[in-house]
Amino acid sequence: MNALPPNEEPPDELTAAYRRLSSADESRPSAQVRAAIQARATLAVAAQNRATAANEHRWQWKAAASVAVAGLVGLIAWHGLHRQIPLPTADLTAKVAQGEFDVSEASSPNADLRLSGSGAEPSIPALATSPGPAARQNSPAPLGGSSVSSSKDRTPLSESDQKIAGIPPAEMSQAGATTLQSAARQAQFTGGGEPSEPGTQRALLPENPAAPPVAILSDERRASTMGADFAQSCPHAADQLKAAATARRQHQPAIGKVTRPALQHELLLMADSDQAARLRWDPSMPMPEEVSAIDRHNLARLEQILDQDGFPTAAMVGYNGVNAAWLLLQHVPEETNLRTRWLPVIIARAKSGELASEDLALMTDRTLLSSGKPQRYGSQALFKDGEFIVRPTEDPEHLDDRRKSLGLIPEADYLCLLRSYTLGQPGSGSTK
Amino acid sequence: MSAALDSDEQLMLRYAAGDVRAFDMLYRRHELKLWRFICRSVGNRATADELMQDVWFSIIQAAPRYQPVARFTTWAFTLAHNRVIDRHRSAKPVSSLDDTDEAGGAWVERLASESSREPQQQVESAQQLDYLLSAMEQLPSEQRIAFLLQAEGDLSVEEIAHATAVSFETAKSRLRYARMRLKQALQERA
Repeated sequence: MNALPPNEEPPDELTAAYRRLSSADESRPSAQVRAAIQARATLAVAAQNRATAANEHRWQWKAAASVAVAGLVGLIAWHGLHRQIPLPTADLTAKVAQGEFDVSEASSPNADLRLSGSGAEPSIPALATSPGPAARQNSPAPLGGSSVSSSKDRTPLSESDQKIAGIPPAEMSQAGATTLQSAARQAQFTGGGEPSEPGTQRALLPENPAAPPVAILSDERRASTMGADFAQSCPHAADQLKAAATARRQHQPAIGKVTRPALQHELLLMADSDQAARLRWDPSMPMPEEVSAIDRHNLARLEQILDQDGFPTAAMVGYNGVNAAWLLLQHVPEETNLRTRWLPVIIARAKSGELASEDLALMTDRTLLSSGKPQRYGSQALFKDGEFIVRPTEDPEHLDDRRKSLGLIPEADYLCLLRSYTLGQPGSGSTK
Repeated sequence: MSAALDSDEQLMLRYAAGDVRAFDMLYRRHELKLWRFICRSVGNRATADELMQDVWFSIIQAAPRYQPVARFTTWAFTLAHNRVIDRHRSAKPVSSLDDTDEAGGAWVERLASESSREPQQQVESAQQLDYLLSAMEQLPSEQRIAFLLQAEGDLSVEEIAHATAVSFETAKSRLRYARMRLKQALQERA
């Protein structure tokens, strides 16, 4: 191709002086920025290749489906000619015409010409023939024709969330995403930050493990989170949290494209470093210097972000970005008074659904305890002699009532999850 | 054809076809110019880093649909300009003393460690640059941006008009005033 011509005019004296002086300036974008951009570029190509492969796979199914449909038409014609066995020809034709005929089912080796919506179990898993939500969002325009998956399996992840995500499309099934998200939500325990409360960890929503450096850490965290196996150790709590997380996501408006993707990426990186360090924290030991150092670093940047932009919104950084910002704020040292200052905003965000009620409870309780008052929702516990002891709580007899008013699980279930998540031990929560 | 000889547009098309090395080449070519444009427009390194990512993320995202209807440089600087304007509109102006100190400190350290030029020459260049940048900061943002688009992006007046969504005459006027004031500032110093 012919290259578009650059501006050929020689630089004038002022421009030349500017460039000469600038050449002495060795200021550069940070290495992190360069790494993030190059990682994004590589991931985008990988995602594109995956989408292309998936589309090719779909094309094969489509071809097979076309053959099946042609066979169907032939069969109908044959029956029409011989009129030996009555078939639902008109109904089937109407379904095909209305686009309700599921070609993937028709092309299945076990297919018996099922119609979509018939209630029959699909013989082809959706993931085998279509990329997950992330791939669908990322991929170029589909080749056309009907899609195997219905709109019901769309997660509320924003397009940008999904594009950042380093999760292979096959792992982004609704079932997988739901399990991961709810499991992580279940683990929204008291974060560290105080030497007297080691071991209390909180998982960041892994709905959006970002570019490589993030994805690696997120995988570690995810493995840890899933290893806790809440469903087995605290089944009642797991069920409730899963339902609550699903309900919340359904009420969260979808975000087409975040307005501050770089800030989102940065928040996720900071939250990831926070979580990775805390995962290495021995619950029986005081806060290690590694965690303190990361908290100090994150605090400096968080203060700058809050000063410049306020508390980020979901439109700016996605739901996971808001969650990451919350996590960082939750872990700032007490002496900064930052949590107290921003708590009203956190309350507003929880009301609007951008943050979970668990997030609000955790920050409210920590803020109250920091100011020398008893906590309200029982979310803060001390780890002592191998057991969690709930820190001073106002009106303990009605604790579960207050938790219920906020949509939280009972305290016993919460402690069950806390033990299970932190210690990997089955708790003693309610099993009803 | 080696990547080094490819035009920006060819590199972009190669990247769109899946060649990550082409992107690396493209990025290296434009990293510094774009970053300086952003940094000197917003006056804050942390913000510049963030906007820099935004711009390149947008370029990456748009790659599959890229059509070389204009120079890559014009397109990239238009994206950068839009991010800068968005930031000016959405954020209250913040001058981070820490950031300035950090940049200044790093600058002095680099000067001290740099051995390729005479120390006196280095200091004079640094002082001149500081003075020039200081003079640029005094310009209205539209004029500063117009000058930076020309000086860093090598954009023509027509391209500046397109990038900033103003008429040719407006862009020309902004550029003329910016250049006039900068020249005056440099003459006063001389």
